[in-house]
Amino acid sequence: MYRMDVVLMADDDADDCDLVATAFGATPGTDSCSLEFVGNGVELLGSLRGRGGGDGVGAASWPKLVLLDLNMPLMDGREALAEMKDDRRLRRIPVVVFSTSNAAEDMVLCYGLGAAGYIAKPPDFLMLVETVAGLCRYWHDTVLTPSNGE
Amino acid sequence: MSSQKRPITILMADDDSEFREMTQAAFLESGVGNVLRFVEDGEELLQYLRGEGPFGEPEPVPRPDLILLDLNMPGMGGREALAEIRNDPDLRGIPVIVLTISSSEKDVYRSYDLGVAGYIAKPVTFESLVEVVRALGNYWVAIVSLPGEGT
Repeated sequence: MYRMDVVLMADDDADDCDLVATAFGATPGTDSCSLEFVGNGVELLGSLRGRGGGDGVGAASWPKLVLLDLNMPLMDGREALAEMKDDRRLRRIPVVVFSTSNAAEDMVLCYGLGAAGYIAKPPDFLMLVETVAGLCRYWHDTVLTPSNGE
Repeated sequence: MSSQKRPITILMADDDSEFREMTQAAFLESGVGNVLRFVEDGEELLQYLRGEGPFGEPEPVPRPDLILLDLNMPGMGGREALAEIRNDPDLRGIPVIVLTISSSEKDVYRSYDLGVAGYIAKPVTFESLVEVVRALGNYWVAIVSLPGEGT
């Protein structure tokens, strides 16, 4: 069955979400990617827990990757990452941190919690396109990822 | 990004000497300027990471920024070593990427459940291995930041 690769981005900054969406659109080979957005950690966990696994309808929306901002209201990225990695079903989803913070302690904390990459948000659009291209080349073209939540 | 970062140290655990040599050649060919080091099984991997046995003398070996891990090795295999790394507070922050013959869904799931940062089925040809190394190097060197960079 043909399915889209869902990339779920958790970020409270609507402008950053728009920029990433545009950068995905500008990257060749991402036609099979569907980018979805949530605005904070609570929404992220709610969205993930509402998705099915196995062969059910929900399996199609099981994300290949989560892009996670760190500083968000209600529940920040650090807490959300810790909760995901503590959840038997959600822990297998690769999480890449995508944050304006490049503080060493955030980096150490996130890798320790099981982040599969830590990206400091690029300062300009051209670099963002390069980042998205490198992200897709790795997660889409190079590595195998779990396809659903079962 | 385009800024020059320090070369990262990659530690590869694989019992297949031919594949180790092929990977070394692929890194040279790809132009990814990393330091590549090798161990041959899970036990040696943990010894290296903990600076035990031959790895503590005469001077400690460099801590790797990244681990490439084969799953099927004699003695302590990759799964067991991975579980130990993820359970060790001092080692759990080092990203581990599985590089193995198996592409079974069960192995993929089990590896991500244990917290890997990528799972790669060993490419069959040298050319495709060079492509894999390029994508790996680009992602981990140019795109993401690793702890300990700039220190």
